[in-house]
Amino acid sequence: MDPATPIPQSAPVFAALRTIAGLMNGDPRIAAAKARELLKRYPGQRQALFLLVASRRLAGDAGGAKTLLQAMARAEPDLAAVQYELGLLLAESGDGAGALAALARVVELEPMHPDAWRDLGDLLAAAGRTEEAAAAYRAHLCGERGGDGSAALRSGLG
Amino acid sequence: MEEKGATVSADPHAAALSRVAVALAGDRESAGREARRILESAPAHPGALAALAAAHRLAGDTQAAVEEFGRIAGAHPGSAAAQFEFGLAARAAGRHETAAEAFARTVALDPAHRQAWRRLGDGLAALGRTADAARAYQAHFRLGAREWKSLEAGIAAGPGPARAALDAVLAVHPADVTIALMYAEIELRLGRHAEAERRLAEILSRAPGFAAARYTLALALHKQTKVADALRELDRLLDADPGNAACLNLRALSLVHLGDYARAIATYERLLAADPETAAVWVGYGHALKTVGRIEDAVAAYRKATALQPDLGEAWWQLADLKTFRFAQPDIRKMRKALSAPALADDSRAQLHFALGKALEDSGDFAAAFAEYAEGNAVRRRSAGYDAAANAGRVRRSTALFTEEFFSARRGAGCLAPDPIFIVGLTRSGSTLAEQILASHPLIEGTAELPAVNAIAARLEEEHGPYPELLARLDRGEFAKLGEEYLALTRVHRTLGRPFFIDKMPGNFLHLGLLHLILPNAKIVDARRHPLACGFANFKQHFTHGQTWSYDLRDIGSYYRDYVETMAHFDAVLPGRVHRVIYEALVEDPEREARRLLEYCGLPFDEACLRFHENRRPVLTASAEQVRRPIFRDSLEQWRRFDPWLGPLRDALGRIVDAYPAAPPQPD
Repeated sequence: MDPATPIPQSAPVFAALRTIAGLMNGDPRIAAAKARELLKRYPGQRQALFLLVASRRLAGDAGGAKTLLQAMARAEPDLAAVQYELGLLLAESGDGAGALAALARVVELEPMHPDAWRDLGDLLAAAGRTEEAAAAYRAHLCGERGGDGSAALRSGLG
Repeated sequence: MEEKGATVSADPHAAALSRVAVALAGDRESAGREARRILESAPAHPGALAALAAAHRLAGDTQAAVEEFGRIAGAHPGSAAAQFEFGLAARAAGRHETAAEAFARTVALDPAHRQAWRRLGDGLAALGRTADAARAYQAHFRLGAREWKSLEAGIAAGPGPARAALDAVLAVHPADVTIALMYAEIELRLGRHAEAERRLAEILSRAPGFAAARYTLALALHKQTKVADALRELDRLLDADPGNAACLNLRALSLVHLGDYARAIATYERLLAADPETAAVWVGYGHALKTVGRIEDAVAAYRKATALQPDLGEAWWQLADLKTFRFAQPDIRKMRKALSAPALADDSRAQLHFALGKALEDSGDFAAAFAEYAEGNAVRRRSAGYDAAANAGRVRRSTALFTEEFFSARRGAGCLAPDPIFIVGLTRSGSTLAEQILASHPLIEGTAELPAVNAIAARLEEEHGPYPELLARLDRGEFAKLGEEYLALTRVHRTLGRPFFIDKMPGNFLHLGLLHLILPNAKIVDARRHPLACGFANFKQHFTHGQTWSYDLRDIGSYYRDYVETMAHFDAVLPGRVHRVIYEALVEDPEREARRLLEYCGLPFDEACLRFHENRRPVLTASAEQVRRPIFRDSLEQWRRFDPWLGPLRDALGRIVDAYPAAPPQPD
């Protein structure tokens, strides 16, 4: 049996995601479990992470989602999507420092991330770190996501 | 992408917005004023609204933000951006119900506003309205799925559009390893194995637990003949998932490539113990058994495969390809029945025709046999996509480049190791016999048809542009490195520790210039057989991979001409560099030819070379069973039975037939 070049080996992930999305308003716990299974096969898959978090929220268990994502981020800290979802959950739970670290990692990994700069700006502003917040907002507003502002911000965030 | 970014390009207010963005770091009040000024001339400008929101956040006044955005939203009830910003401000102030209402208005105005759907879902979930929240989340999800639709369309449209679609996502999300994996898979499909490997290594550095990526890396390594590396990745995967069928199968194949048949057979047995019902695995198992000479076991394995899946052409063909196997009448009936199914896959159909052709040839019905061979070839040719003119062009470019002067200018370059003995030519030309004779010598190790030279040439072309012309631009020192690279790639196949080894990849004749430059002391043996005998033998052969030229009599003739032209050219520019073994002469007087061959290799004669059929080394090619018997003369004249149908081959060969075994004085 010759292994044909696996195109599109990874494409079936789309079909699986659609199934999970369909399960959300029936039994969100099953949807969450299936999203988690999918994430084991496709680490950091953006839509699967969203579905996992959304399903857990629907099941009234945002805290459980946070715990899961923390474990994922520890195991594979270079996946921007994990850090982004984790950042949002931490911010919501009042862990500003943790949220800041996660979102700073997002923009480090993906400087063109369309949403993370603004969320990061909000967190920094709330923490009173106005200069860095202004740089984050500027990156969001002007698309200077790889430029001086974001570089300064990243170094400031350590 | 999650949301349209609030970027300022192609926006008449871009300059003003840039000023606002800069002012945010200093005079926030002035930033707020400037944002409001933009909103006066461009009410509900999304960037200006976001800037104003930022100014409020920096001022730390959430209540003022709610009030101002409330006013703006009220003044511009048709602006989705205004409603969205109001929602965000309300949420920041803890007014979740107000926020949810604002987000609901946003999506009513702009149903494609992904972030609003998500915020609405969050808000509704927090308020306990889970059914509504689920619908909002699903809307957010469906909008994200648009990204995949373009990806799926791209993948379906072919590698170019697929790469463009994936590039667009990776530009924004370079850390998305699923998308990166898809890209690597496409590189693999395009044969850009080194690039696929590089991308997969990067993916795994981010996500070491990404099993699908690690499997694909193993596949990329396997395809580059980096077999030991492939096995290391597969063993890592199998440690975590011992029963993974895909990994076990690729592991068995890698071990076959490595020449480690004992472990390959053990791996197949492990796979079959878990899943004895997959016919294709039985075929792979049978192939490994055949290679080590366990013919009865191989036949049993192939028979098992035909029993499990009677229309699996590969199983029938593998039985036929034993050459010594004879089909019975019930087999012929089963093959014909399988061929009568209109939905039969082309690959199986082709192999069934080839197998049936062999069965009919053995029974003496040559007209019917030829008809089956012709059908099988026609099916294969449709997918083989051989371009005879392109190959002839490549040969002419090669002969134009590799002149006497070209080689003189590079004399002394390359890796000086004398280890490799390349046997080149066409398939079915007696090269396995020449190999078996040499491999029976105590100083020479037979390996297999090693794809290392092809892999190096492909990598060079990937990195430096058109091949072989790129060789003119390489420094002398590069040739030595390439020779070392070849030795490194092939080392894994040398298990006996003998000083010389054989690489029997026949198509390496297309790389003679490269071979000479990188390994000037390697031996090159040209195995040549009568063009009609060789041509017909290829015509009735099904190859698992490659040999795309072998599925049409005219293509075969043209390819043989290219080969003769190439070899004649190198005889002229590098006299004596290549030693030619004429198959008919070898069969007629094996000792004389073996002595000449060994003399060319600079090695003393050894009697063992004449007892090559006693050599138990694994043999992978179509001649595996033939070389396990004393000199095989049956095939010399077989083609004559089919002579009435070989006109197109004869025409394409032209004067080559009459000039054989010499080359015609000038290329036709």
